Amino acid sequence: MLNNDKTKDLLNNPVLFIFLFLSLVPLLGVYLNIDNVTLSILFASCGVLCSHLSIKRKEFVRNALPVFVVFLLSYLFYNITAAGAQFWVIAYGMALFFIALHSARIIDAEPAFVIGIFIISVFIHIVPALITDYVEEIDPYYDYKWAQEIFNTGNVPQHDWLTYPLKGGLDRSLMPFGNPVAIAIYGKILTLFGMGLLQSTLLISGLMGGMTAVVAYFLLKELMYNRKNAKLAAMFGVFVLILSVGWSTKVHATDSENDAFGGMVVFAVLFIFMYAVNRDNFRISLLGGSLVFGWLVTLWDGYRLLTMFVCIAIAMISFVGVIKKFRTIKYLKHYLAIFLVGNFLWRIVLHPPTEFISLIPFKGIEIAGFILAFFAVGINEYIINYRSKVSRNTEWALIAVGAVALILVWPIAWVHFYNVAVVDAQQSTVVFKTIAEQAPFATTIKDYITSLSRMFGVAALLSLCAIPILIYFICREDDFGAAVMLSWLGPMMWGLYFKSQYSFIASMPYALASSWVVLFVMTQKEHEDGLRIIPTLLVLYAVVAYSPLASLMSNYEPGAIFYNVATYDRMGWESALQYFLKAPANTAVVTWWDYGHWLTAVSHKFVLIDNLQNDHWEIQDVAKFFMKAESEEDAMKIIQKYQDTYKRPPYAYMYQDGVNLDYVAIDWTMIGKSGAMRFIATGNLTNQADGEYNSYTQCGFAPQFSNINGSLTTDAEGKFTMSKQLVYQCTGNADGLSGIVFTIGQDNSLGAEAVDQYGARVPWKIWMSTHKSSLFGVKALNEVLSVSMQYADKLNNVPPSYYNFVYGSGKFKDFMLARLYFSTNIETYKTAGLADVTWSAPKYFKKDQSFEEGFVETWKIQYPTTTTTVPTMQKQENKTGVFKYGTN
Amino acid sequence: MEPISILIALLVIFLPMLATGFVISTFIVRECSLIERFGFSVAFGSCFIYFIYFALKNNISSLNLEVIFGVIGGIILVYIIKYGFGKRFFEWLFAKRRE
Repeated sequence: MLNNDKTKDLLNNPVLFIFLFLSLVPLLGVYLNIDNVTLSILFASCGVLCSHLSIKRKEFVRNALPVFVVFLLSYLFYNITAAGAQFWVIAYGMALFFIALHSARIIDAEPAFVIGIFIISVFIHIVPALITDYVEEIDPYYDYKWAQEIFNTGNVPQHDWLTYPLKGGLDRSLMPFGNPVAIAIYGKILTLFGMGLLQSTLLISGLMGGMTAVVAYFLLKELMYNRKNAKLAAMFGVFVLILSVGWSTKVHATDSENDAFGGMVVFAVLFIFMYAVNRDNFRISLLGGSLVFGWLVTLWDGYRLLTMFVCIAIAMISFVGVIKKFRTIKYLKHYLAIFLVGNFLWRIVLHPPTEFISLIPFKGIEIAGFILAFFAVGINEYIINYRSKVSRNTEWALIAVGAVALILVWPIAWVHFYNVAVVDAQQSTVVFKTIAEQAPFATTIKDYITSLSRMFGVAALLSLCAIPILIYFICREDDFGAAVMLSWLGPMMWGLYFKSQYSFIASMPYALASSWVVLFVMTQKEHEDGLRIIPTLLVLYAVVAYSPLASLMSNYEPGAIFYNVATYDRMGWESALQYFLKAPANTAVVTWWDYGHWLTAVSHKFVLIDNLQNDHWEIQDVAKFFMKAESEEDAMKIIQKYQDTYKRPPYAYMYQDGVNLDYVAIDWTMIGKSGAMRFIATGNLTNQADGEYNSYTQCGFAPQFSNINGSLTTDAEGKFTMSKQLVYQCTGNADGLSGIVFTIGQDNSLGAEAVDQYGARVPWKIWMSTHKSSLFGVKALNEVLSVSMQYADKLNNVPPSYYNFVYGSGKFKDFMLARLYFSTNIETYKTAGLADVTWSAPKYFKKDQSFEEGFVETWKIQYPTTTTTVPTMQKQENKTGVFKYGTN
Repeated sequence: MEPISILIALLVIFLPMLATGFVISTFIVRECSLIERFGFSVAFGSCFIYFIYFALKNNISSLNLEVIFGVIGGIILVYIIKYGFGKRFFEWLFAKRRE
């Protein structure tokens, strides 16, 4: 309760009321109907007024931060067209509210920060749900799929029957489905409020953004336990974390993957562990840490890394302890309690249906970690506590036993570590080489540092600077928190270099480690008064670099975190997915693995492969179907193999006539992925030898090089003639084709020329016969040309099939991808002399549906001998209305 | 989603976590500041899902609202018994007996 004097003081504080009023303006902005320039002037004027009043009241230092935020808001309203500006104003309005409360001494700094950062972080990461109701992109549909199963059936599935038929589906009894369970639970509760599973799916990761911010703050405080300025440094670390683009790739609304939830619980385990260690409270480790650890394992795979880096930290501090004569067994004791009890807890959840508790052995990375920790702590204990008490013979015996144990056990354990950290990081399988997130993050150190800055902003450089600081704290001040931070940052720093997939898990140590630089700077400035302005400015720079002013001073754009939403690809598939949803339950679809989760999660249909890339042989079969089979007969052999599998148990037990592999689905993006499919189709999965590097080439309309209004030229006889020129620029290809130029004459005659890599023009017929190539299109030739001209200035609103051609040469002319996707309009290209292929309409694949103007097309499989019958489905109207042409 | 729906949904998701996290942390971490208690509540908050997951996976029950509210309510009830009505009741009961 406020006493009377304080209340009176507050009521007489006009600055506070101005701040509180201004903090509400952005939130109510849409209802106030005031233009942004006026708002900008309002904020600037209020900033000046508050500065004046603060100076007059001798409270300028106290009010400096809220006044800065007011001026920042003024700038944001002025520059409202910048990416995400409309969301920044609300976020900074929220910040202003809590900062103002603190400045007025209504609330202490720590509660103001914790509650404020929670609300702001939730808001920032919930923005995608304001933009769209689609679950984002591809992988989040996996959790969405299982959440639906749990929500609808009330049970956790033990087996995935919908994918990988040659393996008889996938055993899921040991899969950590904690996140789908959580989504389903909240979906059930939300049904009481007129919402349901979709809302729960959309929001769960956004909320985790806020919860992680809170836990991360307390974790940082514990890692910097008993250090002066730890709170301020922790605040900086959390600020950097919530504005890290790398972290936000997974932590945002509409992404329902388990990473955000798992990341939050990793922070929680570490926080509880550090809290227990710092106070040497075994009860907290044993009960609290183990409960959260057990829950973590049922939720996310990242727990193994947690064990690895905690054990490395224990080993590190133990070796320091040997030199500096302090014991470290308590660290091992606490983590061992968490690990062992936690292992029991997760094992009674994740187990096969026939067992009460899972008895699967510990993973090598855990064994390796603990052996290292035991070894280091053992040496520490022995030298500090027991050495003086044992005889020389006993000492030799102990050394011998330790050496034998190390020789026998350690290499075996570390093979697993090597597999995870080296082989897995430098992934070399044929399939994984084609996957972007399996690709290296960088190829050179310079490239790495540049990419880090783009992903994590200034935190990346600060974290690199933090390494010597952490080492200093470990060696000079016996700091276990610094050891944990260093052993977390080091492996992630190294792993990320080799694998882009680690960008999310690496974002945590990268963001948090940067706070050690702030801690160090703030500690130093108290001692070196004269130089303190330099580090202070550095810290201020770092803070401002994460504000909307960042784009003015660096290439880091934190506004990007608002736009992690479903893209064109996902929306382009919606009508096709709804179409398949209405197909019989025992329908299977052949398509590339990218769409596997969509077809199983949204349409609930069988697919051969999905985004898990679980069986590389089945992935290769599908790749061969699309990008190796040059005849329908060869393609049908692959299809028949799967159809036969679907007619046998267990599928024959599930449905009276088994599962029917009835459809092929192709979308536009498979043109771009044709290189990956060809690589896999021709690769060797036994010795992982690379396949062929080649793909289809896309040639897209380039209005800037075209003359669509026409111009006068002279013909061969010297007569004036009006002609239009349409230029299509091609993506890189082995043939050296850089573009195609179409000339449309006054008499509607059509001429085509190829442009080679040196800019020379070659008549298309000569190019075609020289390179044994063809030009294709999903749409008819004239449609592509006319739509290109008609919508030249708004191509972004037009489906790609209307302004792109596809070029292929050699065998690429005859693969099933071309035979199916381009078959409908191939005659128009043949007639115009642009295509030279012998095939026409396919025999075993009947054109079924076209969705979103050819973005997705489907074919019904016609088996040579009648093995299955599937009821005919009605044609679906395009209901999504995603692709609307603008008015001309 | 509409902003108001998002707000309601977030509260519906977060409050059960906060409540159960508060109870669990109260039993495990006895002495801490109020703001640290908030931190612990968030850190422990999602653990109640573990208990439901355990029940589902071991066929003790299937997922429905009764089970969800049973687990959340059960956790909160333990707290009430320990620190609220129950504690006073037992104090009163034992006091009477001593008389």
